[in-house]
Amino acid sequence: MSLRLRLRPGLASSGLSLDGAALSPDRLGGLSPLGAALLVAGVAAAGRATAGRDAVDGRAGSRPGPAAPALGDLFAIDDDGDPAPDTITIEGDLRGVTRIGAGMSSGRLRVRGDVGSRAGSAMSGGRLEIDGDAGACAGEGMTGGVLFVGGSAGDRLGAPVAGGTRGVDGGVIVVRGAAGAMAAFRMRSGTVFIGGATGPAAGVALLAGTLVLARAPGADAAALMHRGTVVVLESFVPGATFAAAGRAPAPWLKPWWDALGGAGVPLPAGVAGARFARFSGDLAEGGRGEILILEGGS
Amino acid sequence: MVIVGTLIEDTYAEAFTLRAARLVITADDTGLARTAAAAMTGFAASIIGCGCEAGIEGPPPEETPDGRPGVRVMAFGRSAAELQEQLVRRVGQCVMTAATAACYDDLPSEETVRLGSMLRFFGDGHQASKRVDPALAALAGGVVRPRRLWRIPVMDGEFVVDARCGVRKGVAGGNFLILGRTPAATLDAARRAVAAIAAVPGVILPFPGGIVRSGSKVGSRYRRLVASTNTAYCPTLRAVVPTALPDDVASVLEIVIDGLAAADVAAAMTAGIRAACGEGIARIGAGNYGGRLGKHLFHLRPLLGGTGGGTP
Repeated sequence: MSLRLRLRPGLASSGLSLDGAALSPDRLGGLSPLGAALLVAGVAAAGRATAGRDAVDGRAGSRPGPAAPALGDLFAIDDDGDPAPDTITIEGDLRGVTRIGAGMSSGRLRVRGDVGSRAGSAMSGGRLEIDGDAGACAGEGMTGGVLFVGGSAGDRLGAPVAGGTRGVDGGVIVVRGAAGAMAAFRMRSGTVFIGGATGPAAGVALLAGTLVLARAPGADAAALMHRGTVVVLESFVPGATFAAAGRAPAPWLKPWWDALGGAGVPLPAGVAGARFARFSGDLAEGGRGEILILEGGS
Repeated sequence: MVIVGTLIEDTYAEAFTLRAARLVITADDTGLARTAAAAMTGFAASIIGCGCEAGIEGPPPEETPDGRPGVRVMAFGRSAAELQEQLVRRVGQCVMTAATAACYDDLPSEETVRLGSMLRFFGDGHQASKRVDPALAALAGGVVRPRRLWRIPVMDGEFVVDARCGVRKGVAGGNFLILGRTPAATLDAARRAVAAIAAVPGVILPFPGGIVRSGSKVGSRYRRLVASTNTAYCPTLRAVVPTALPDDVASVLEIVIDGLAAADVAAAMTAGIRAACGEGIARIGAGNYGGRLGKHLFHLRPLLGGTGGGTP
């Protein structure tokens, strides 16, 4: 069964502020619309269980307190008939809802609208598809799965969670639009693609992994990177701590082009066989990382 | 059973189990890829004297991991450990050294051996790994599979190689003998067989040009030798040893086939035997050891749609 959750009218304009960690296939998968409606919104791990509501479908929905709303208070929930199991669709202006899809490990979560900060936080699997914009810290601490953002993303896309030392450590983030400052900060593994402009310090302190930027990045891109690869598909001059290291094709990138093409990302024609200018850096951090700039990029 | 005037003997080929690996070698053009593949699979005719058996698989891959032209090679060893040693040596010396070449695993398997993760040290600390993680592979819709690549700096750029490669049980030693009335007719038949087998996927012919002239028997009058010339099939010895050759046979050539599975070897034997039959070829036979050496027995007549065979 796949669920559709539609934000009830008037909630968005009333200043809705909600921790949406319960909005993930891991929590909602397999529930009936009624079971989902009785699930407590907010931080599910906290608070006391409420008998009666929790008994429905045998799910362990726990309530932080008597004032915590149930999902059914916030969303109209029905079965949208999608034959794919564990597919959840959420519709509405969810800019006031944080941590949508946080910790998800499987299934598919589609959001028809904008979301608040920390969407897909620490997700380890599954697919989170956001049609609109995502707030700050989307995909923070992610270790697997796929996060799509159809619009733009805020600051610290794929950065470490608060107190963490590693940003994205596996999986794929695809942002069709722009991203704010410090995208892929301390990324350790995986792939981040940004289709639009990026704010300052994209790929800053990159540990490893692959950051693909369709547009020339803002200031301090890849500064202090240790290892890893930043691919830029537009003409770009790296910072002073990056040194030119020749021009060559990079056929090993083909899986990345196949994957991004499979995700519907428009790529420059002939990118798979194209040559790239290579810059080693950040020389302040040993120079073991690289920036690859597409030759002939616009 | 007779096919196009050639008698198919009521006998069987006996094959045995080895560990198999399958790689794709790519390069900027097919010639460079074949050069690297030929070097890597050189001196790999027999497990007895070469450490492994290896060869170039006939049909090229439709698509390669890096999109460049490529060829498939397979290697067979006694164990995963021995195969790893051979692969590291051969890929390190013959593929990493070959201009523009890269080397990828092409045998998904639970059991793997180290390849690039051993060769990476050639990079002297400047090597870098790239991981195609499962999420990225899934996005590509199945045309990409998860893998870890090592990029090793070399003088023409980078040598890219999979960190590990899959190994699984394979079948080695499938064979048939072509007994011809003249040396020329026998060689022509062998060449036809090799060409036919080149269209069969999942098999290699590890001997030079796919043809063996020095078939062996187990043992020797010399104590240190485990194998010696197959006297019963040597035309020049027919007067002095018990011979398996009819009077009208002047030359014998053998086709030896290794494959990923018994079905692959059977398909190759079938294609090769049918192509070999014809004018000037008196018989098609096969080499076996009375069923004592290997668990895979390929009876010739049933392979070709006839009757016969059974337990040796």
